[in-house]
Amino acid sequence: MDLKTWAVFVASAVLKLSLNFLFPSLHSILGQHVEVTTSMTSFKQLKEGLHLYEIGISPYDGGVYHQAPIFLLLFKFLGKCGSTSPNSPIINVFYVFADIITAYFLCAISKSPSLAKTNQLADWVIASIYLFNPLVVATNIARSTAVLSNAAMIGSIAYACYNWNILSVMFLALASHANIYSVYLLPPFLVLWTSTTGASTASVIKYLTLYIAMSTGLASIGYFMTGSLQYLTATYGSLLFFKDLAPNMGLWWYFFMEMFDFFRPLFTYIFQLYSLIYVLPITFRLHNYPLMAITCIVGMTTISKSYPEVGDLGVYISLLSLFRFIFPNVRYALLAALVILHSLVLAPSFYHLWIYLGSGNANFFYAITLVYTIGMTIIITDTLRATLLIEFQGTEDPSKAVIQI
Amino acid sequence: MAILQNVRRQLFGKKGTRESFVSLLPGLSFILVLAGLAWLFVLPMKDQSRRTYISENALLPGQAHTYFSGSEEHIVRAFKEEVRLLKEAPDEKRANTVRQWLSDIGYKSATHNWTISHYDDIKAGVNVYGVLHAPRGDTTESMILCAPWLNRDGELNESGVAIAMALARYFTRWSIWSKDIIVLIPSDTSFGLSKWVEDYHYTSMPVSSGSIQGGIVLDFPGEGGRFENLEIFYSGLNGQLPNLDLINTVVVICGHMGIKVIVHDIDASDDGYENRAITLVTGIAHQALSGLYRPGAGNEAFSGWRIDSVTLAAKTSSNGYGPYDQMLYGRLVEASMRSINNLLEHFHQSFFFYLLLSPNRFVSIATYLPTAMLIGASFTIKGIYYWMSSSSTKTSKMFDEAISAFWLFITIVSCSIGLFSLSAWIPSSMLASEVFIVSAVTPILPITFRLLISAKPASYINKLQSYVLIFVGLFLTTLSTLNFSLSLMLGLIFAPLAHFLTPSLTAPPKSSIECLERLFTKFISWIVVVATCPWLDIYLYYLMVVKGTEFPGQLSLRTLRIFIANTSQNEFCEFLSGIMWSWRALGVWSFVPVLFVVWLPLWLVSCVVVSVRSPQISTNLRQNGKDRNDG
Repeated sequence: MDLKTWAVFVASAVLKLSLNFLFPSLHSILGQHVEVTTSMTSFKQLKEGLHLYEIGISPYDGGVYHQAPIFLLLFKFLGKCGSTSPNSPIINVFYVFADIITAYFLCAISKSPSLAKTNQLADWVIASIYLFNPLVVATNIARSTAVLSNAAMIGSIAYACYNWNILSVMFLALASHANIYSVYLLPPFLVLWTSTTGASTASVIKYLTLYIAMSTGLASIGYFMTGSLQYLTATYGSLLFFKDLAPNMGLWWYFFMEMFDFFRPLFTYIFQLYSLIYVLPITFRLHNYPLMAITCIVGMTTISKSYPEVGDLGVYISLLSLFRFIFPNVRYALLAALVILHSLVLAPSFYHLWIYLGSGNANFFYAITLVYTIGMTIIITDTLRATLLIEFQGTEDPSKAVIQI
Repeated sequence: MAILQNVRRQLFGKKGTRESFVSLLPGLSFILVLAGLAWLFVLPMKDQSRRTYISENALLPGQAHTYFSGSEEHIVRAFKEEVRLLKEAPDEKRANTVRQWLSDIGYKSATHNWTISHYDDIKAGVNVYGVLHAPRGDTTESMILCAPWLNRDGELNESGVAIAMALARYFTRWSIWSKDIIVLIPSDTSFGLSKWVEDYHYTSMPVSSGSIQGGIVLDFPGEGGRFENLEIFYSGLNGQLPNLDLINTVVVICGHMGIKVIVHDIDASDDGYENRAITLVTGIAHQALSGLYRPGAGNEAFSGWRIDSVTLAAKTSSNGYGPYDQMLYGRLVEASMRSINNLLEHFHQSFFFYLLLSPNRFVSIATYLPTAMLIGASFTIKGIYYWMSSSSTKTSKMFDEAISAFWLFITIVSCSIGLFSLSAWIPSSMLASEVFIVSAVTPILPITFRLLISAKPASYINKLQSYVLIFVGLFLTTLSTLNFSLSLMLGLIFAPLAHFLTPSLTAPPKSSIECLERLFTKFISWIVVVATCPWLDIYLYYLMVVKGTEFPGQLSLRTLRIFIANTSQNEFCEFLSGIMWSWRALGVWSFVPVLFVVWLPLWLVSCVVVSVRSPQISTNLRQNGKDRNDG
């Protein structure tokens, strides 16, 4: 960590704090935007759940709160230290800190033994790509809890890169507790553990057992807190079966809105299968590049998960910034940037036309989410192609040995 | 594949695919502007437009018999007499009297005091309204009958208010209403009315009703009670339009009653191409600039709240006579209210995006949107061209250039936003001084840029242009879905900046002809930059459209000076503060913020482009030589 990186950290903290200070209603404006938060990450619903929990009613009654029970404990603790109003000092500092930690993890990944062999961007560039990304800033100011689950996910990757596998497993368990789609990272993590440390089968089984134990432990917190297993259907259930039918940036909501009810189970399985189906092929194909496999799976999940938000794209772009060696092979950066930019500007305006002015309709917004998905697909295929090209050149020309990352 | 390669070689010569693709872009971009403009003139053709039709069957316009006639005329006359007596009365007294009338008729009534202020610039007034709870409804839905005390020209809305009161009284005798009727007499058509609508939705009013489904605004000034034709005003703020079904309903009812309907003050009896084209262009101008500096017709205030409304303006002839009388107007309103009353759900069936060519002809969004979209896309394509043509093989140099050009772009945008905040913040009386200072600074801007910004290579300038053009393209495409007309207008104003701007060239001219050519392009660039200066354009608009000054026929310094000085500072200040008020009080974001956040940065960047020096030729030659050696 050089001085410049610390300067970026401080600047990002100043930016977020001053935005919150100058525009005190910004968090509620952004919090209402369906592009920025979903019912799985919304701070407003977290506060409702917290209130129910504090007055002794199960927060999972009534179908408002869908987030993991651990957030209740965390924010109850934060509430004890100060207040949980979205603009209170403690919450401000906590969220700013969470983002800086994530950026720190990203810098650490770029310095890790496997990646350090390749030509890397400077730390402060990587940190600012994450910290000053408008999507990440918006997600942070909206107080989406995805900020925390993303921090846990990036943390687990960072620890895996440094062979601190136990910590990595624990962070992965935390991340998948908050956002179950992080489970998809398990296969590439297996590759990562075995390739970087050359861990034996026995130790891999040990890690897996630890992961399962840790996940079960975290899950049982909910049981002890609420006294029933109802929370499982309210959290994982509504995420897996898409119970909370509301518009978001993903592909799901429009289909399920149009669909007859008796088709719902079938298409729920199909959509979930679709998001799962890429995991193993990507892991196998990119077994030489487990980090790239993780990045690709994060990108694919952003497209195919049931409640995506734009912050996920910010995380994906930050992960991509670690692979500088593929940049020369990337072809459609301008196209992808323009498509994503247009969709991100048009999405709120079409949502406004549909919900507030009433002159547009759901098709407007859905069309834009499709464009957004196309933009994401362009990035994923383009970077995947660029990676495979590097691998190909490595095997063609012995002087360019395969870069193992 | 071989054939394709042959074709490519025939088309582009020996250039690579990328270069040949890039070299096509400027032409494509320019063609898109021309195509967009040409498409605008295709729209008024008979085959492109459709006849309007009633889409929502529940409306049944003109199907019910109307009974507002006979002895009701005495009531109208009596109310008219009363209104005339209140003409000079202070606001408070007027409001209380009208409120008493409404209570006497049997409405729950209340007054609504409103004030909006910005420093010492205070606007205030009193609105009156009353609610008739529907005999067959549950007060969840309502419709509005609105007669502003003063109409859009500031005249006393004498017959309008009287007919509204008589109708209000007459409506109480019917048991057919399934929606509450709100009778609203706002003090004016702009701030008072929009403040009432805002407070109705945001605060708890002493008397209230359900969600407002539709509204009719009555505009019938004068005491004669006869009118020549009926003009429908429908443009809302920020490009909002009421559902086409509402306009159709009124037009159909007028057809049944034999009333002549016009839109945009254009006689539609001659349904020729020229007439349709003029209606189209006037409609676009109205939509783009509605609510901006003068009071609207009244229906604007309801837009943006999901309330479909139209203003029915009875136009009297100069001698006060006309073929139709006030009772017919009353029956028109009665029939329209009954149609709205018939609605089972909110207006949704028909179009929300349309351009009217005559009261019963329209172009739908699918047909007209290409105009603005093509023009918007031309900016993006030109931006892509500048980006791709300026990317060199030296990635690190390109990266640095891109970053530093981006910083300049961000600085320019931030300065513009700063100026915007300043203009919104200072008192109205200081606006004229601000504009004076800004216009005085503007001419020296190019010199300042030339001195302050060090010499930049063409690739840097291209990067800067590419940022601003992509930004403008992005903005215009988005705007065209919200406010088509404004997007089209701005696109046409901005287009020369994307196509006729030439930065200083690095290489020395090879021949005298090339030298002349450069002088010519430089001259064109400067003309374009001067002509698209926001302040100049606003001032010219003010002089020629608002004041109606004729542009001097023969150009001389003297005639020009008379033309430019044809205003007093107070009048111009009034105009400017009107524009600021439209943003501040009415929420018309589609002009002032757009001016500062899009137009000004684009113009400033263009200024930089034409005024920044190119690097010294000698160093440039050396650079070129080095490049060649490297290659």
